[in-house]
Formats: sequence, structure tokens, C-alpha cells
Amino acid sequence: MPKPDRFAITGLIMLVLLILAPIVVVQTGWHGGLPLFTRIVIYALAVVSLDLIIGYGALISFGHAMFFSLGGYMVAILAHHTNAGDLIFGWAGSNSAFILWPLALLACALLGLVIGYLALKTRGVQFIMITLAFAQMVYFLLVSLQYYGGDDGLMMDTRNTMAVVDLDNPWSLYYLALGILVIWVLFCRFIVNSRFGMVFQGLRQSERRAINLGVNPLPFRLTAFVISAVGTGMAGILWANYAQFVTPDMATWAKSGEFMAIVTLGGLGTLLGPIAGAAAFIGLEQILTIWTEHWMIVMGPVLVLIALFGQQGMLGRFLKGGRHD
Amino acid sequence: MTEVLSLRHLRKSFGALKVTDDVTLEVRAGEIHALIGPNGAGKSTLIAQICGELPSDAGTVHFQDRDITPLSAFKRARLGLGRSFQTTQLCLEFTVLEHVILSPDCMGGGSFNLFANPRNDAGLRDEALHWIGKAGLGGRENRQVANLAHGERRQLELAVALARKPHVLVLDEPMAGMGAEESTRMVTLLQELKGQYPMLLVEHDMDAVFTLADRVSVLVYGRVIFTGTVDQVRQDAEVRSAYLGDD
Ligand SMILES: Nc1ncnc2c1ncn2[C@@H]1O[C@H](COP(=O)(O)OP(=O)(O)OP(=O)(O)O)[C@@H](O)[C@H]1O
Ligand SMILES: [Mg+2]
Repeated sequence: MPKPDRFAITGLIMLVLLILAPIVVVQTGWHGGLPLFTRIVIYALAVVSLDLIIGYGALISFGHAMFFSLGGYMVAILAHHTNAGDLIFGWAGSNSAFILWPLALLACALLGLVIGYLALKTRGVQFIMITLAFAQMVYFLLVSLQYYGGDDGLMMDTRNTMAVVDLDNPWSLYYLALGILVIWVLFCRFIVNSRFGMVFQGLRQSERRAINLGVNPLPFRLTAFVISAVGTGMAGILWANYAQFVTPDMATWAKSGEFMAIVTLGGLGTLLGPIAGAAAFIGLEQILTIWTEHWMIVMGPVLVLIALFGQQGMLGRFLKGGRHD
Repeated sequence: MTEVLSLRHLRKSFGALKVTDDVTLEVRAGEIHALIGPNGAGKSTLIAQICGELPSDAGTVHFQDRDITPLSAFKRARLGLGRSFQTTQLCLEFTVLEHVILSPDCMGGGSFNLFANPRNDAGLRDEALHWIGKAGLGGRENRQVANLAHGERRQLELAVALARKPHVLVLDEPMAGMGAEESTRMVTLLQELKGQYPMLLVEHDMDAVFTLADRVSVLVYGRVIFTGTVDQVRQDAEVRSAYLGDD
């Protein structure tokens, strides 16, 4: 008898929960429920992308917030010029998501390509430090953009437009984000199980062996890094449309650290674990902020304890178990 | 006789320590060429130079009449240089089957196909199962590599190398750390493979060397002090004093 596919079962349960939970929560009369779940889903998109390279490739990027911020700033800046009636390099601009989002994702892919190429010349702690350094450069660049609000960030007066989906309706925005998350998780799942993914994971487990099989490590790692950057950038795009506001905070090392913490919290190398991690992290943040503004004082130790004792994270043991004899 | 692999005046130093000192030797088509020498003689370093993991200070490596000295390790592997490592280098999370499937799958350097799952490729599966059986791991194809015994991992290393259809095998102490029974099985396996693949075999166990090898080179302090047939080695006084013990 074939073993039940734990990934499929867990994924399905999560999907049903994410479809129903905001409806139920709002029914109880708490209208903060929908924004809360929107944030969870957007974060989930970013951390699933990060898990692809950390969990499956041991490429520990401490700079992924730069892609999150770039995605957000790209759509906010383009919307800003379009609404002000400026020409953008001779182009009148657009508010259409079908034009702006691919442009923003392309920018993330290019940034990922350049930074991935440079960072992948190093390994281990150096890789962590170099991705962090690049993210800090992006952060300071955003702070210095006085025209786009500098430190204060940039408001997005109108959300992007989409043919069928009305992004100004918070329910539509939520279910759109959820739909994108589902597609992205399936895509990542395919990658992980593909020929490409097998080599990519083989490189993590034994680089010397993989090389002796004829594998050139760089193209594989770089491809995965770029895919991860694009997914995180998509989360940034959704964030900008959700908050109608982008700030350099989106690129801070603390944001990159949050992403890494969530991946670890949920379970490295499981794709679904980080979604649970995002729900736990954002949920806890919500509860703690009501209780005290110094919520990080509580959250910090919680994360340290999880990192120390829960090596597999929330779902790692379950999702990785039962696969082999 | 044609040479498959030939090392010419290879050198390598770590600081003042000459680990490979003007090494010239060749592996001929169909032969098993054993490389013996005391601990620290530089055998593993020489293999790293052959496979391109370590750059040589001087000298050349020719493989099938081609100078591969400037090629990086993965390019040499693609040309058909198969190897095993002194300490096994395997992907512990894969199953045996997955690991062996990876070999033919990576033949051209690995695929960028993001969607096809190689585990569902019947051709690859059959091929992998063939080599798994050949290496004596039949029936254990769904075992996770991390759960294999030491000897089984050694066998898997061989299956992984063979599944790439190598033109030469460079084996660094394939019997290291094995029990007597496992060693015997490995020797039998290598004997079966003899003639089909030229091999450079680093080995400490002299019984295995005398059983398997056609020719033997002796490496001491990075220098090849002797190359000859098995019978010549048995008789050579210098080898006996340097390595075999004079009894
Ligand atoms: N990267 C390195 N840096 C400095 N010295 C090294 C390095 N690698 C190996 N050595 C030294 O080179 C010498 C040869 O090592 P090598 O591993 O090649 O020997 P070996 O013949 O394979 O020994 P063994 O039979 O124990 O496997 C040893 O003295 C070792 O300490
Ligand atoms: Mg050695």
C-alpha cells in the first residue's frame, strides 16, 4: 500500500484553513482578522521562497529582505510616477498589475542574478555576511532616495489594477495572495522533485560527490537563488498593495532575520513548514503587540529556544518523516 | 599497450612539504594499476590532482590522449573519470535508488528541467537497479543512504561511479574500514569488473593488491620508487624494506 503523502495532506489542510479562517474570524466580529491573515499569506510567500534555497540548498541568505523591498518599491515608485503624470523614460506608465508586476519581478530576478553570482563565490558564514552586506546597501540606497520619501517611505495612493480582481477589496486581495501562494508552493514542490532539484539538493548533501558526477555547482545554485528572489519579490509587491505604503524598513537586516527565523521555526526544507511558521510568528506578534510594545523582548527568546531545541521546527519532523524505509 | 590515464612529472607541495614529487605513471587499457605506500605518502593527494580537486604545481594529466590538466573537476568527471573517496562522499538523504539515478542523469552536467521527476523515469530506474544489483546492493534500493552500513556505503560509491559508465575508475582505498567478509565481497566485485574498466587502485591490504592488480606502483614521500608487475614487487628488495616489511 502506498504511504499517504504527508505533504499533500498537510497542504490540503492548510489550504482549507486559510480559505475558511478569515471568514470565521471576521464572523466573530473582529475585523483585524482579515489583515492578519493577509500578512500571514504574504509572509508565507516570502519564507517559502527562502526555504527553497536555505532548506534545500543550504544557501543561507541573510539578505532576502532586499528582494522584498525591491518588489514593493518597484510597484510603488511606478504607481507614484504614473499617478503624478510623469513620464518614466518616455513611458506614460501604467497601473495595471499585468504590466507592473512582471516588471518588478524582472528587477528582482536581475538583482538576484547579480548578487547571487557574487555571493555564490563564497560559502558558509561568508555567504551569510555578503548577502547581509548587499541588503544593507539596498537599505541605505532606499533611505537616501529623498525623492521617494527617504526614511519616511512612500505612500501608494492607488492600488494596482487587475482585470477581474478588485485589489481595493481586501477580500479579493487576500484570496489573490492565497492563490499566488498555492501556485508558488506547487511550483517549488515541482522544482524540488525535478531533475534540477535533485542535483541542487545533491550539492548540499555532498558537493564533492556532485562535482564528481559532472555537476558545475554555480548554475544550479544561481538559478535557485534567482527563483527564490522572484518569489520574495512577489511577496513585496503584494505587501505594497496591501499596506499601500513602502518603507526602507522592508529591507532591514531585522526583516531578513525575521524571514530566516520563520523558516527555521516552521521547519527547514519542507516548504509547508514555513507557512505554519509565518502563521505562528505573525499571530504571536499580533498578540504580543496588544500586550506590550516591546514584543520582540518576548519573541526573541522564543525564537532562540526554538532554534536550540526544536531543530526540525514545527513541521519538520512530521513532513520529513515516513519517506524512507 | 594504450594508456588511458597518464601522469607526467606531477608535483604538489604544501608549504615546504613535497607531497607529490615528480610522479610519472600510467594506467593502461584494461589493467588494474595498484598504488601502494605508507600513510601520508601522498596517495590521496595524487588522486585529488588527477580528479582536478587540487591544482598541480607542475606536470600534466592526460586522459584518453587529451591533456586535462587545465580542466576543472566537473569537466574531468564529464569526460568519464569515475572515482571513489577514501572517506565516502555520498548524499545521505537520498535513497540508494535516487542516488544511483542521479549518476546517469548528471552525465551531461545535470539537467535544468524543473518539472520532470527523474524518479518516475522507467529507463533511468532500470539502469540504476542494474548497477545497484551489480554492486551487491540488490533489494536495498529503497533504503536511505544514511541508514546504510559502512560496507554498503562503499558498495554504493562504486554503483554511483559505475552508473556513469566511466572510462577509468580511480578508487581510494575501497576496502578501508570494512570487515573481513565485506572486504572479500568487494575484492570479488572488483575482480568481476576487471578488464571492463581500467582502474587506479589505492589499497593498503596487500592480499587484495596481489589478487587484483596487474601492475603496482609504490609511493613513498611523494615519489614513485618502483613500478612493476605483481611478481616484480614481491621480489624487489627496496620495496620490501620500504613498505612490505623485511620478513
Ligand atoms: N591540504 C593540505 N595541507 C597541508 N598538508 C596536507 C594537505 N593535504 C594533505 N597534506 C599532507 O600531505 C601528506 C599526504 O597526505 P595524503 O592524504 O595524500 O596521504 P595518503 O598517502 O593518502 O595517506 P593515507 O594512506 O593515510 O590515506 C600528509 O603528510 C598530509 O598531512
Ligand atoms: Mg589517503
